[in-house]
Amino acid sequence: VSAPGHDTWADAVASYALGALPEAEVIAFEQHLAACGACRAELEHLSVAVAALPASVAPRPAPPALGDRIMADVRREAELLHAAGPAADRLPRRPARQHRRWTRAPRWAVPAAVTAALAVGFAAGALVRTGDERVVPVATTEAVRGTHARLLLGDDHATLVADHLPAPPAGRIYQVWLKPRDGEPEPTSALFVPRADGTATVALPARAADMELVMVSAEPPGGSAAPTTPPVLSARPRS
Amino acid sequence: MTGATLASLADEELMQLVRRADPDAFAVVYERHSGAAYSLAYRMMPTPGAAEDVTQEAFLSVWRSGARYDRRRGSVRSWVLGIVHHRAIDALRRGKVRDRPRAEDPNAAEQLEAPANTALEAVRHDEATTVRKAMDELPTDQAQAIVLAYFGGFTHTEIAEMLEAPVGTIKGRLRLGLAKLRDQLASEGVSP
Repeated sequence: VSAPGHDTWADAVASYALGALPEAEVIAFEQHLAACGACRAELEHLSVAVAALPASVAPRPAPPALGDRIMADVRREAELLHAAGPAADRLPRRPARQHRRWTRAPRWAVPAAVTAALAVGFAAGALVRTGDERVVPVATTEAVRGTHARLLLGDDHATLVADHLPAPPAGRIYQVWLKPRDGEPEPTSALFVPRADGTATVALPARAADMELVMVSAEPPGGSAAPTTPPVLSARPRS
Repeated sequence: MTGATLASLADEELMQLVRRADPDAFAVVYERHSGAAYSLAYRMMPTPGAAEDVTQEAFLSVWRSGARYDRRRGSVRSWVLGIVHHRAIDALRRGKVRDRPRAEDPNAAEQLEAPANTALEAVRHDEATTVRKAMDELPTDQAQAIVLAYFGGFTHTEIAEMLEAPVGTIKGRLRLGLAKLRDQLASEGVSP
């Protein structure tokens, strides 16, 4: 089924599939794509041809030193992640009766190992700028493995977008926290649960862009004044 | 898991291990696809050093965002090469590189032949031959537009300026060319 504006965009599908759509048009086209079944079907059709194009390139082995460099980075990060993994995995699955210990914790109590895991995640991608928005990668913990999330930061707005985000534990919702440099995490009224398909689009205060950390944790309905569980998502808008 | 066991796993199974930060599984994925990735980057970038940078960025992105791989949307190889392609385009546009001789030579692919020393290499060699043949059979203006767009990293607007043709004409060439290529490959049984 085609969406309004289809005639305007129909001949842009091939350019988009090839990466040849001018950057200024990409966001508008993707918005149209999200609504237009006909364009999505054509994109899927043409993408098969695009995916075959690399096969036509003259083969050339990657230099051995390149593989050595990449694997050195990978093994170093794997060590850090494995040090953090069990803690990151264990905490959200605590039985409810142990939860009270967290609720009484007066201060932000993130195990160092979780911080390390998130720190590795932060390296995941440099900041990307799309149009007037900055796109900041969001680090995830094992508890929400498979989640893909990012912050979209504009001059006067900020949005958290996620997909493949599992529902919070029973009786909880997700809450967004803003941690300024040299300060404790501040609660926000951004409380949410992902849609049934695992997607979430959450409006945040625009000042999120100035924070050292933007985090998401599972909290009781109505939210908390201070985080009661470790963050499952975390981003560094200023890095 | 031993290296030999890992080497027997399918890409999709390896990616499940990569998602759990298994560096040995990642090493097998790298081993399988680094040649194709570097070859694509080498084709697109103006210098071998820039091709290495793009390949490194792409594989570290694969390692760090393995969770984003969705097998319903294609093979691991296509996913990796898609990341390489995006990174290369980003680098070309960021650097405003305009000296991209490889992109303007559609026949460069013929200069080296793949060593067909394993069954898999033989299949890939056949696929390469089929894709090149399908490209050769496209009308020249369509093939040229596709090569400039995909390998050169040029936008349709830039291609229109280069070829002194209306943007609408270039969009049409890209669309017709890709559709023909798709049909040709489907008839040859190529599905990346």
